[in-house]
Amino acid sequence: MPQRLVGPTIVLAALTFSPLARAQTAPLTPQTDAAASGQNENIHVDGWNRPQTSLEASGKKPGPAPVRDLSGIWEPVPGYRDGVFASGPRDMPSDPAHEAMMPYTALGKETMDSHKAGFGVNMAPISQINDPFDTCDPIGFPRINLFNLRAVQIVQTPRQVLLLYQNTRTWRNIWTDGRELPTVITEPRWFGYSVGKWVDPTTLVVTTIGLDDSTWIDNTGRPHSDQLSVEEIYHRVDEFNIDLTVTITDPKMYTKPWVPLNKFRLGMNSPDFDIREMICSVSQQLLFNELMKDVVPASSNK
Amino acid sequence: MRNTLRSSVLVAVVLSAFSIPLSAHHGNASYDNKEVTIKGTVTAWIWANPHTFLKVDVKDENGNIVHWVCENNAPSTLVNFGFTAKTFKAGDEVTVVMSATSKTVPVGRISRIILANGYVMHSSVQ
Repeated sequence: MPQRLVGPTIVLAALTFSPLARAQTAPLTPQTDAAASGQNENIHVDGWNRPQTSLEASGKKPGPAPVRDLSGIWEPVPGYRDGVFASGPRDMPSDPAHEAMMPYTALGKETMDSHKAGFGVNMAPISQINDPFDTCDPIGFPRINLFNLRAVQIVQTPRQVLLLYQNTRTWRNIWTDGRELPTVITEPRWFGYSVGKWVDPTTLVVTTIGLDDSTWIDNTGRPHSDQLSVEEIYHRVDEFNIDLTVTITDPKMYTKPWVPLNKFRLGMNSPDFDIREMICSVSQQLLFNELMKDVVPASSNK
Repeated sequence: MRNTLRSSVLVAVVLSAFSIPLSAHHGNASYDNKEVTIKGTVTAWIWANPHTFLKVDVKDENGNIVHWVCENNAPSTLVNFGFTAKTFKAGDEVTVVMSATSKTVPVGRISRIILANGYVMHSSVQ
């Protein structure tokens, strides 16, 4: 090969076989006709309708956990819908047995009883539900972790960990630059104020305070006050897996901390996984309300 | 002034629309367990959050057209079962199997859709 062609050839080969190039040139298969495509199985697809599996499920063996690194595109495993948690988070669902274990204060119980939810022990007729998320209020934190936890991309900078959530296309930032939490909250926020500390090479502990108390903790109406403090532990188990543990502390609403998620597993997706939009649109919500206005739960019809 | 008025009207409309709180996240207890099957013509396929809807016109025993509203799962779930925003178009003939509401209104929650060619589209894991 002539010397002058070696450089361009190497560049061309690199582009051709790079993941980026594959992602851009791979034939897309939008399923514009499900009947024609024959795809009616439960086949997980990404935002570009490309079939996807977690890296571990695809047969790859995970390497050791990288040091102080959570970056990647993650989804609940083994099932990508395992984080929907419609009836409450996995480790404290809102059923009679678990509800009896909830350490409500008197105010907590009173507030919980005032919340009329679509699921859980407080499930109410649709016309009576007062879930703030049903009018597209921001889902808030920690509900973003405890309801419809779908895909989440984690990006790290030298000073922050950024979480980009599929649900409501929301992001959070966790400061890892050594700062302390604010001692006075003059402006509560939907997603609060978060700081993170690496307690060992693979474990990030995040504390969040300053949360707007109009939000619900989960999809079943668990309440919180302005005293809510949420601890998240992100433990990078290995190259392909993170275990997430969430602890709720709110002395106004609960007599002791409780744990909605205990080592909930997130698996790494392919780096070319495109996160699908999942947005609470006011106009679509209005349409939904209009179409559903005549629906009455069976229980209220008896 | 005109903009202020226009904004006020818009806000009033939005607030009015939200004055009947409805849940995007209601359980299936909103529907009876009784299975209903309808066969008719698609008038609209609404690909939206929090849930999708298939609107179907069905001729009843008296020859009257009944406008059915058939609720389906969220797009982010349905895409994994072969649905897209273009799966249906007005005029398509379909059979819909669903749980209907407990009131006598033509609204239901889809469990499966049978296309004109016999292809069965499920909306969740069977």
